[in-house]
Amino acid sequence: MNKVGLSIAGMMLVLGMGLAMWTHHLMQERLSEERRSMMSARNSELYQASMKSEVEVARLSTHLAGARAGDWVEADEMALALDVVYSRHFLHSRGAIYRDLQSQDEYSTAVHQIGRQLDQLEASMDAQDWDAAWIAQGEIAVAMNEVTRLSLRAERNIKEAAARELERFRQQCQTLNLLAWLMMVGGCLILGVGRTGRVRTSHENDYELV
Amino acid sequence: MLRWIMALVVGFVFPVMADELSIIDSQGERHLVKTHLLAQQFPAAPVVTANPWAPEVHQYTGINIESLLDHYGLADTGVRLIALDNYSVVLEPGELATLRQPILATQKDGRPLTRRDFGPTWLIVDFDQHPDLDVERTRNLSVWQLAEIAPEQ
Repeated sequence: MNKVGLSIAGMMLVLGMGLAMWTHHLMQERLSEERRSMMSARNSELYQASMKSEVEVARLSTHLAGARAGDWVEADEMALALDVVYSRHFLHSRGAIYRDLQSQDEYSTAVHQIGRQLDQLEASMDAQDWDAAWIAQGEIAVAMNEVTRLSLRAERNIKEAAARELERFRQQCQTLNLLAWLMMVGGCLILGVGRTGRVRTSHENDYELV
Repeated sequence: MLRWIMALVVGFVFPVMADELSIIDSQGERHLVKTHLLAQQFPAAPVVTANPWAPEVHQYTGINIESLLDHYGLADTGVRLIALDNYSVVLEPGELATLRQPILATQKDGRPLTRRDFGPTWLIVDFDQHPDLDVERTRNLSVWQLAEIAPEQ
C-alpha cells in the first residue's frame, strides 16, 4: 500500500472518529439542556401564567360572592385579592408574560378590557355596590379566559416549533453519525484492501515478500 | 352596615400597612417584621436594572437577603419563598450565591413597592449587569409580593 492510500485511510479514520465524538458531544449537550429545562419545569409554578390569573380572579369572586350574600367577609383579604388581580393584569399588559402576543389585536383588546373592568370593579367595591362588582368580576373572568385561550394557542405553537426543531436535530445527528461510520468503515476498508493487495503482490513475486 | 364600613375601612387601609414579612427561623419560630425595619437592619446596595416583569430600568433598594437569612439561621438550609398569591419556590442551599447578590427590594425609585406593583417585597436580581442570569430558574426565583420565608423541611 502506498503512502497516499495510507494517509487517506488514516485521515478518514481520524475524521470519522472526530465526527462521531463531536456528534456525541452535541447530543450530550442537548440532553443536559433538556434535563435542565425539565428540572426547571418541575420546580416552577404549576399553573400556566394566565391560568394563575384566572385562579386569582376566582379567589376575588369568592370574596365578592360572600359580600353579595351579606356574609361577613374579610375585607383585607378582598383588598389583597384585588391587588393581586391588578398585579396580574399589569403583567399581561406589560407583555411580561406573553411578549409574542402583544402584537395581536385580540390579545390587546382582551387585556385592555380587563383593565377597564378592573377600574369599574374597584369603583363598585368602594361604593359597596356588590351587584355591579359581581358583574364586573364576571366580565374580568371571561376576558381572562380569553387571554388563557390565546396564550394556550401561542404555547401550542411554541411547542410545535420546538418539536420540529428537535426532529431536525435528531435527523442532523443521524446524518452525522452515519457519515462518521461511513468514514471509519471506508478508512478500515482502504487499509484492509491495501494490506490484502500487498500480500497478494508478495505471493506473486516471492522475492518481494516482506 | 356599620361592620361593613369598619371592615372596608380596615380592609382598604390595611394594604398601606401590610408591609410585613413573615420569617420562620431555623428554630421554627415565626417573626413578623416590618420590611422597612429590615431594610434598615440589613441594608442592601441599590440595584439598577430592568427585568422581564418591569421592562423599564428602575432603581431598587431594600434588604440584603444574604444577611437576613444569616441572621435567622437560614443561610445553610433550603428556604421556601412564599408569595401573597400562594406562589412558592424553594431556594436551594448555596443557590443564593449563583444569583450574584440579589436583594429583597422594598422600594422602587425611592418609593415603597405596593402590592399592585409586586411589593411589598420583591426578590430582585441584577439582570442588566448579569444577562446570563436571565434564565427560567432565576425568573422562578424572582418572587414578587413575597410574604413569607420559611426553612424547607
